[in-house]
Amino acid sequence: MKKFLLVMMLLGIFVSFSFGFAMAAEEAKGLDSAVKQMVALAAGFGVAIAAFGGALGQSKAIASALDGIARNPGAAGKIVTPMIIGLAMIESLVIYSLVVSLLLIFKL
Amino acid sequence: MKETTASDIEHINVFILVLGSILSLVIMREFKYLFSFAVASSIMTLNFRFLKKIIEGGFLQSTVSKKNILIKLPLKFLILAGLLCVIIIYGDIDVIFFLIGLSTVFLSVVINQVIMFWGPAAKRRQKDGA
Repeated sequence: MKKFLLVMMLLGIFVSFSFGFAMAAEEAKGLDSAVKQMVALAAGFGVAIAAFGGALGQSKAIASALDGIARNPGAAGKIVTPMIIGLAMIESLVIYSLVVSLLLIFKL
Repeated sequence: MKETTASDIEHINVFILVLGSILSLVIMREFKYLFSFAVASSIMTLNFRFLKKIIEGGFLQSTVSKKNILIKLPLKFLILAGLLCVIIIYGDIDVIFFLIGLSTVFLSVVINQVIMFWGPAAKRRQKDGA
């Protein structure tokens, strides 16, 4: 059942590509070059700031978790689960920023 | 009190993926919205699953697995970033539904906590004075 779900998810991702390959040849919309420069700058800064914040957050989370595990190896199981959830949430915030920046660059 | 496990979050992720896909199809009546939500939600579900496997493999063994930490974790991130780039550049997606799909992990954590504190089991525990 788990393998079936995994295959279905991957299949869904690849099926979605089929919708959009025609969009690749879409012409760039007529934005002013100054606006395009600002969009590129905003996208770059957006990803940079998000990556910086995400890296700081993840490093702090992992350092604290490893500190806890080193002090009390028996509690590793209890420490790792909240750490995984925290890492996933931090990572998803960085992914938001990446998505918005990519949308700014390629779809605006 | 019962502790949250990563598997609980994973189950809720899959539940949100299925329910959200059905709702987006029923409400919007167009496959573009369904695919936007389903793809983003699948990406986050798989990302969480692989993150869990890699970190549990890396930290919960008796020896720290360098292969997991040094190779699999960056590889997972690179694949995720590449997949997102390809989907956004070539895919015909709706931004709002895509971003809602990316929030699957947040939603599942919130739902998990709501179930823990206000679910039937928690009420039973409160009633019993535990």
